[in-house]
Amino acid sequence: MKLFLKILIVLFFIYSCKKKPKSSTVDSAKLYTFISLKADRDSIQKGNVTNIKADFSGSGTCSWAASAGDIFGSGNIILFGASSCCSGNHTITCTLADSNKNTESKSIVIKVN
Amino acid sequence: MKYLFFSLFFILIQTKNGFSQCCGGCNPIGGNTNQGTLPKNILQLNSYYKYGYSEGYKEEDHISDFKFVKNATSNFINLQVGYGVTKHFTAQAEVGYYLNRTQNFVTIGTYTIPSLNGFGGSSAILTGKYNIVKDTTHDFEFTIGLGVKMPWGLAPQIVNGVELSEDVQPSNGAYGLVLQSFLFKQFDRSNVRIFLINGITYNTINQRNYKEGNMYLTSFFVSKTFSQNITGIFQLRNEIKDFAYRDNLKVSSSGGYKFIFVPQLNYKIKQNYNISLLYELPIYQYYKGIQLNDKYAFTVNLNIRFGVTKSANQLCAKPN
Repeated sequence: MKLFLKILIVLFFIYSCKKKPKSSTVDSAKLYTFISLKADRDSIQKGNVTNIKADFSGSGTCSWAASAGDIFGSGNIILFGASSCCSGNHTITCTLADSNKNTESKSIVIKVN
Repeated sequence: MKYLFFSLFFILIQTKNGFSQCCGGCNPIGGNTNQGTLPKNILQLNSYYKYGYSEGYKEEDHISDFKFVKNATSNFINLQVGYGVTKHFTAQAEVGYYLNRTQNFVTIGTYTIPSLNGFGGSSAILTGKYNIVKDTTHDFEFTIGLGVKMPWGLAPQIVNGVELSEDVQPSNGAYGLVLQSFLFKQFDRSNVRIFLINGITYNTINQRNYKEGNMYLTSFFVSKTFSQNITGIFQLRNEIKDFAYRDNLKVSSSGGYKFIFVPQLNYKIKQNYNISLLYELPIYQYYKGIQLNDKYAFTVNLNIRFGVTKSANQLCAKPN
């Protein structure tokens, strides 16, 4: 019984240990200008893909997320595609960040038929 | 969380010598499937590795010509610790970890699509099981269980700056409830055991406003001991999955049901150790809409029972 309780306590503490979120304070001026976020096509069939490009000047890194569907690749140009799961309008977001912890997001909507 | 396995392993190694070595618990070993209760003061460690392979798509119950994912593979490990708190109550904790969840894609037009790969912790489940009926005269047992499922992490996994889709996320990022029942009957003359396991897994909505469909499981097992150490088990499993919901809208290509045939061979080593090999072959699958076609899976399961004393053994024995 003691062993099982020990295990449970260890499980609890490990599970409870969450990393504290890093501070999001702005250190200094932005090192980039986020110009636009554009897709080759704003509508695709299920099982198809389209290029999406984040256009910016300066120094930054783009992180990508989609409300549904798959994102392939990384950097400022990615492919967005949708499997059979995902008809409807889906929002694809690029969050641009620089080494000074500045961030800016832009989104576009791709319709999947 | 990533230190979880090491911590559990450390504790078990540390205390292993403190247990007396004797015989197994009352219930049969059913591979990686949840079992009934354990005798009082018995600790059970169950760990398994599972490989799954899917290829192409199915629309309802026939092959679809839809093309996107070429094939998908997963390598999953699970660690389960159970303890017989009283004669009738067993507490159980388990964690699961994906070594990988990978999707490989077809070439689309001029685009060569790179693979997607997720990995990491899946979920932890804490379960309490209560034995309602245990009739050792007629070798009959009925047990129910209730568990709480916690995701390894709430935020979706991001790889190389890209948030992965649900299909390759190691965790669904949602809490859940698990209800289960276990029915067992042994026939002494033929050395055959049958058991029936029913389970319901209810999932909540995750941070992405996605709700994975609830799962209803029915497993029927027939187990026959061929020799002192070798047991063969045939399992027929039915899985029913509800529709998933994204932003409160039904995902049309989700949910369905399937029947899976699972032959299994179990080898007992030194009374307390059992190693099992399982092969999962879907014999009928019906998918709502168009979904990935599960081809097969295989599992290697290791089960160890510690602390079985003479008195605990007597609890399992039939009265004369």
